Amino acid sequence: MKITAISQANGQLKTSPLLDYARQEKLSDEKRAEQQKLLPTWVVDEGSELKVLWQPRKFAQTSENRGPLLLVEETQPSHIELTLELWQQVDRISALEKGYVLNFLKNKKKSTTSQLKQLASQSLQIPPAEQWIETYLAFPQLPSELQKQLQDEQISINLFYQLNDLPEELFTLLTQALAEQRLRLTVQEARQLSTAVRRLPRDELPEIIGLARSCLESKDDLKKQTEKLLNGINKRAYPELTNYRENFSKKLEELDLDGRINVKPPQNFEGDYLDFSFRWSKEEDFEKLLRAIKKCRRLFDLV
Amino acid sequence: MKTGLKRLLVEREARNTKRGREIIERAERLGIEVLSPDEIEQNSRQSLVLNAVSSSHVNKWEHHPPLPDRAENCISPVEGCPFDCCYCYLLTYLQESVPRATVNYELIYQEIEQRIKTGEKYFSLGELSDGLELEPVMHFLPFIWNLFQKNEQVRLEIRSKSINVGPVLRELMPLKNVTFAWTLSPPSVARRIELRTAAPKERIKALKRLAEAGFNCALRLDPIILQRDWEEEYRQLVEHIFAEINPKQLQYIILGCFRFPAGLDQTIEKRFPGRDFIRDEFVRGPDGKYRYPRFRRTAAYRKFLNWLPVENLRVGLCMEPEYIWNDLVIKK
Repeated sequence: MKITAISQANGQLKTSPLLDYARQEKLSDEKRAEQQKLLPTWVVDEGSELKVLWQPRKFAQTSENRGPLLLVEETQPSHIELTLELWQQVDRISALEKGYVLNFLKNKKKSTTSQLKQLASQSLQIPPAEQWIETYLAFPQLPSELQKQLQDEQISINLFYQLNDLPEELFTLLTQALAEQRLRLTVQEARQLSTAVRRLPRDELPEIIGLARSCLESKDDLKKQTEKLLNGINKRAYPELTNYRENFSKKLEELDLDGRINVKPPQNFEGDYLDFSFRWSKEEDFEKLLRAIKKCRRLFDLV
Repeated sequence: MKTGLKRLLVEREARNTKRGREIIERAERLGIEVLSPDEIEQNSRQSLVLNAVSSSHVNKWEHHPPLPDRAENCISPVEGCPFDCCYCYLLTYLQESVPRATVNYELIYQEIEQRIKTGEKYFSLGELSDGLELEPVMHFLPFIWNLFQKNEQVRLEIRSKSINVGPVLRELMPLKNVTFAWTLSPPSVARRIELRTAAPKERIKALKRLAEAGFNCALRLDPIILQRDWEEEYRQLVEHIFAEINPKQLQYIILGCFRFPAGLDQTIEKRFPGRDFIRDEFVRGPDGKYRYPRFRRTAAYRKFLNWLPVENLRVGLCMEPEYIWNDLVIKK
């Protein structure tokens, strides 16, 4: 087996026909097969064998039909960027594959966070923020069902961006439940969840995990279960806000508005107004409506 | 006189200026190592990069409703702070963590002058760096002092946690329209969260020295951090302040509960692991910033209003919406 480390080939890739090849959308099968042999594959030397790290799916190569093998450890950063650019042009790199690429660079090439950030934004179209890098780095450790969904673009990357901020034990518990379809979360719900967990002292983590476990093990349907989980964590993270809300709802109920008026306090009670919405269809209802609105005066004590 | 500064990293263009050479001379006298930026990896807040860039160093910051309408022009000869306060918004606001200063004072002078001509009335120094800490090296204040002397209708607030008042006492005369405002926290907060700053009692002494020399002084209890035992700690702080200072020596006192823009909490967690002040009930406000819930803030402010000698002191709130001022019946 011939190993070509581009770092030793003095910029060979730059002048190779590979980029031209990648840029041509329509190629004859014959030409394609011929050029395919030039497509580089990342490998690592594991002593007894060379292990293929990654190659574009579109051109999954057999050992007989393989282009240059790049030892990741020995390849210059500029050539790594070049191969990524090339691969992107041949076949879009999926989020999962980007995760693998970043892991190789971090673990095999010992790239620093700032190097990863630079490469991620320049060559992989990943936002150059640390949390994004960490999100992608975690992809190869996800349960295989979720990896498949990521590869097939059936699940949002943003969901993991939000969840990745959770403590590891909770992250593992929730991603396992997602993989086994025992949990369903929208990106918005995941964001709410991770924000609420960030508000809680670290020593409350065991209780949070206990709460999550009991929600996941309940017999409720998935929607109800998610609602329970979010409510439980929110109540712990926002005790005062939960109090205001409950108090407001109680006062509203006591007014017995006959379902005519919907009254909402400002978001998080940050404001000194109330939002009213109502509907009437008959003129005689208007007086009843005014009476109901007047009753609401008492609610202004709460904002 | 100490500045907390260990290294001055002077860019070539700055070294070639008269002011650059003066700053180098002062730094050397203070035992600060002077190098060129490429001689060291710039990874410390205890370094200061000195450059000669001519970009704007006066920026207008506006508050939008529901915050009270107040625009101020922040003067920033230095961008980046030698202190390392765990709650500081500069952690995400500035790209570079190493403070950077310009030698181009003339440009800043012109910018301030221009803004005064267009009717701007409020200026501050100390938003993007501490307003006093680097003064023994920078000597910036004497350069702009006459501008504020000539324009009495314009106000300048110099914000600081430093005790470096020597250059002010030696070289400046008090001006009616310039106020030195110290940020204070209880000692336990300062120790754990305001890294590399002077102890609160030292700051109070520094304030007292300036007040006794006739300079206008003020206090900012901002950010107020409502951690366990906060009530006792802040009450003691207030007691200590007014055991040392006559309320009449203070122009005003500003109160402000801790708040932060989205994302800063994650940065703080990473940068300062284990600082639990960031793990609390923070909710999003109408300006997008996160704060303690409204009624917790107003309850805390009410306590302060009880502790402070309000009959002899103007009290204001920092970055609080109008409805909070109204809740507390404080005049803006």
